[in-house]
Amino acid sequence: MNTEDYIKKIWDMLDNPQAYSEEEILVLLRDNEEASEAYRQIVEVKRSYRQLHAADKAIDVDKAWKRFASKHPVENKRHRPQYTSWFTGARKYAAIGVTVLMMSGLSYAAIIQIRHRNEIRKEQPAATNSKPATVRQVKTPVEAVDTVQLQPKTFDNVPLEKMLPEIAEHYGMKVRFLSEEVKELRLFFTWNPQESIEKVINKLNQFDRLNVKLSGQDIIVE
Amino acid sequence: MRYEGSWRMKTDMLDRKILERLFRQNYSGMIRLASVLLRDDSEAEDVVLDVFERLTRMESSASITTGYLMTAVHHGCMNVIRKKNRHEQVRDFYPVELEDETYLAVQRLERLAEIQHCINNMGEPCHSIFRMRFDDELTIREIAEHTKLSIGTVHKYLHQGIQQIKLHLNQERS
Repeated sequence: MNTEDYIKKIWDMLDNPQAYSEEEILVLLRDNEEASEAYRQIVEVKRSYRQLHAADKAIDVDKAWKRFASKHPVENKRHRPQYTSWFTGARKYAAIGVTVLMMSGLSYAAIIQIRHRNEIRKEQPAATNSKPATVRQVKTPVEAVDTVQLQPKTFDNVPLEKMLPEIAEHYGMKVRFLSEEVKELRLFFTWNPQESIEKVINKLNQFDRLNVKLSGQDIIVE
Repeated sequence: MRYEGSWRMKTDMLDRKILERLFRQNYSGMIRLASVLLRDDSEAEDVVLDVFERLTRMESSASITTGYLMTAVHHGCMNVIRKKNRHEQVRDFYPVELEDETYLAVQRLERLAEIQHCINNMGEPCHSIFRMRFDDELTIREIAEHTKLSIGTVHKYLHQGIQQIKLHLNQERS
């Protein structure tokens, strides 16, 4: 078979690929250098037509970015802790663990004090001006505190309509979504229940597409 | 609700602002390149989004240039093509072997524009036959029926056109 025959066969194969076995296709496209070159050229011609049409396509970059960002939420780096290069791997996570434990420990003390203060208020309504020294005298067993609720919690790719009600419940608040679309927005967000609701909302507002406000006992999401 | 109970840090992720800037600057070009290399628009979009998805796991943006992103798109498209069987590859006019990687994406696209320029300068009926075969995707038999030419003559014009383009590109290179 000469080169011209090879090339004719290639055109025929392009018209009807199923008439050729995989091996026959490979032989046609590999055995004759000139025919292989002709096929490469044919591929390029087809691409040139695709390019012609691709140039006419309207591409909505803004829409594409919003869709991508909602599926792959990325936090702004400036709001995250920075570590030096040696501070990696197990050491980093060990340190994080220690920090979390310390924070939890501190929060136990704070909550114990708050709970105790509330108890004193209930028992002695007239003694609201009592000195803090009274509070410090009370010792509450640490084991009695629910520690799990106090640890930071990570919502990984969780829709807002699931994430926010849980956060709101912790602060005794309710969530109102002003649009259906925003309910489906998925975020990667680490929530620290020890932080105030104002601080949590500030953090949420760092996401570009999110606008969260406080109104009385409601968390309003636009 | 899922609760992993761990404090997951994403310190290794690219900053959102940098990612957004890269996305806004390059998305259109990347989509166009992928649409040139792949027949299916949704496959082309998947390749581009996959490149950006991988960027979110990158620690630094120092090495990320438009050239880098376009090369990543080219590799992504070639991976899609490689997974197809031979019949699908030739049906969609895909390369069946590895391509010359020395071409940059920009050079690749310039060369395609040069091919279109060459086709536009072809005389009739060669120009129309090329359009019918490559753009309208008619078979050679259908073109022959449409133009009232014999199958052999259509073959001849297609072959002549391909040779003409090859010659033109060789002259451009030298």
